[in-house]
Amino acid sequence: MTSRLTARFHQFAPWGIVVFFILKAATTGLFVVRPWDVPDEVGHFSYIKDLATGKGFPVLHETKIDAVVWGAFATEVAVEPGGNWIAQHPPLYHLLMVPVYGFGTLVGPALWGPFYLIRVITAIFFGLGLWFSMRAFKEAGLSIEVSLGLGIMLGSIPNHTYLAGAVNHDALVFLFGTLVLYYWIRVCKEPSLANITKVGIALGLGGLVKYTFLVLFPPVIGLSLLVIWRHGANFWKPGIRLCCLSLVPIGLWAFRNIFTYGELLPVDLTGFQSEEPLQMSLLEFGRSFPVFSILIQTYWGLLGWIGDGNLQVRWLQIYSIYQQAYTVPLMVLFGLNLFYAITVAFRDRTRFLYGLDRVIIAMILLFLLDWLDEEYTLYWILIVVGIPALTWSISDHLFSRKMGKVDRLQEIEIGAVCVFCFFLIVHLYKIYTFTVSSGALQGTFGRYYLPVVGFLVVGFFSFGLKRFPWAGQLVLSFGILYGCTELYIWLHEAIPFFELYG
Amino acid sequence: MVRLVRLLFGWPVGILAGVVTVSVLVILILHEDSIQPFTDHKWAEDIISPPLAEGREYTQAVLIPDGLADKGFRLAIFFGSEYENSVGSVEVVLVQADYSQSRIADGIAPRPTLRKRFSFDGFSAGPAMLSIRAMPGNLETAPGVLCIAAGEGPAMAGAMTQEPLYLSIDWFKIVPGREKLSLVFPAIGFAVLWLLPFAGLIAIAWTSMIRPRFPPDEIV
Repeated sequence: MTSRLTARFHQFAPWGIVVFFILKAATTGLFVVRPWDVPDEVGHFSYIKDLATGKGFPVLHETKIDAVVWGAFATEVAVEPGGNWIAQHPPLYHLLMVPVYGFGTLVGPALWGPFYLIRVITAIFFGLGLWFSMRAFKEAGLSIEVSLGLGIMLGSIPNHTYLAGAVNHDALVFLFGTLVLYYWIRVCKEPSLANITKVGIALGLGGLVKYTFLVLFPPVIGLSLLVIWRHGANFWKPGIRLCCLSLVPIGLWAFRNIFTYGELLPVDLTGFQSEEPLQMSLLEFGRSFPVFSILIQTYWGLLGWIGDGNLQVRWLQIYSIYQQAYTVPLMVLFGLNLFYAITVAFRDRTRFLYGLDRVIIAMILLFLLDWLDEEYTLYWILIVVGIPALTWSISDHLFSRKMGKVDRLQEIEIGAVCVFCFFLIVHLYKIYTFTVSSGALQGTFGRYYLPVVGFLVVGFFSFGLKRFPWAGQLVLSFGILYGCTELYIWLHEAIPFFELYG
Repeated sequence: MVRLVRLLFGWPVGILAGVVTVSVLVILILHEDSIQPFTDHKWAEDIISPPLAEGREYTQAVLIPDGLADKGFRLAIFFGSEYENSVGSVEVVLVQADYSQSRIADGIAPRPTLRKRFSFDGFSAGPAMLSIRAMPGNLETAPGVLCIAAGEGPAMAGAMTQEPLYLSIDWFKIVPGREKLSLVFPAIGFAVLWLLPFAGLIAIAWTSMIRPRFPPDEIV
């Protein structure tokens, strides 16, 4: 290709990835995944129908699943409609889908027209999230080829395709998560009022989709305020604007909650209570369950739910051979980070020792905690490679700061690590409390990480990818591997799985 | 050389690479049957029957589930042993009315347990009799079968234990490879529409591998 053609190709390639992803997710949602075979789909659809038919916002513990929706859901058993637990969620996704529901009733059968149209529109949300993630990666200093490769990798994870072609708010959570990442990076580079306004709006709207998103608020707002403060010009006006735009939308919803429920952010905890709660400390909890392994493997693909009409939950956890195809590339990327962190540090003895000290301390702490005892071998290796890689790149950044050489792009990487780790710590604590109160491991779905997956990529893998001369080719090859693996999973495992009990 | 590389990673070859990769994968996948677990495995087996030494046979009535038997299925039996070098051979026989099939498995060596799957076809949903026979030459150190104590229906015969034991078995459905696409797509056109994005993403990845001759910031 000539340079001009190459430039044009690189300009349109992200849109190509988005269009192909939307087509894949939409056709998967239309033909492959049965209705109600995505977690909470019946609750989300009933929520949207309640809004679209003028019944208003469903009320937690009071509003039942819509009778017609329930009739199509529980086809094989005669059970009265249950309460809609999805009523606990804030309403943005469901409000956005109200006109889609209305249009769907015009173009298809009364129930299934809106249902499948919502699935298609949800796929578009996820596709836009992919586009913003690629822009964010480029904004974070990664080359266009690496950004494209990472976009293809993200677009070829079965769980992403599955959740995109569904009546479920996770796609919108992903979109707002990547929007926050993109505008937060721009704020870090240029804290203009326009960029601050955009990150505030993205945070505010994301918080109105799912409470999980609120966990992003403290680190993103905190880091943005730090950037504004350091910038020096005017702290209060942009600072107040950021806080107002982020907090007012969810504040209004919380205000409504106080009137309806008497509490700010009510959640349905009925499944998390047991007469035999566990008695264990946080440390013992970590030693007893392979939490990280479950989180990662369910992130790759945990398909299925209650689609057979019998109200029986059935899961397809993608098999370990496929998990390896998705996980080994991450080990390679961590390996790149570690290699370049050491290479950079090797030029200066003090810098090298500074990094080595901290890596040794991190590894000793890791093994003293004994948290990896129960982890599956594949993920144990990933963590053991990842921790020193991450520690060394953070140490390198700290050393640069100590020497007064601040690299703004490296600051963005470290900021992204902070956002991700804050999210991880809060989630781990929630898993612990739910597990203890319910007596069994709870809340370990990888999809909860959709708001921060972009932060993970920027924070954990940028260091090596920016330095490796063949990073583009490497990541694009991983993209091809991910794509082939996904095709294999859908065709060989998922399609037979979804049709098994039909 | 530069021209060759440009040609190799140009968009015509990229599209070809995407289409060929997906076509080859689809052909391979459609030639392979898919084995799907049909029932949820719910029990923790902690009882091993007496070893399947020569002359011993265990039988139990089983119920072939609805929707399983129309195109052949697999039945998984769990073997276990307390001996370190336990090894043996068994014949598994499934009988329904006057129709029966038998399968032989040699060299079963659980360390300490092993799930072995046996293929059957031609049966219909409903009751059947499952027999597991030790083959000649099995010693007293041969593996036994894993059992549970809390089962339903008639217990396993032949173990001669005081409390009733039930075989721990799993059912697997065989989905023929060639039917995978036709299971969900009403026409070949829809299947192609679904496969197209996979080829497209691979094509973009392939074509993107060529490096621009100027810094990325000048591009977009």
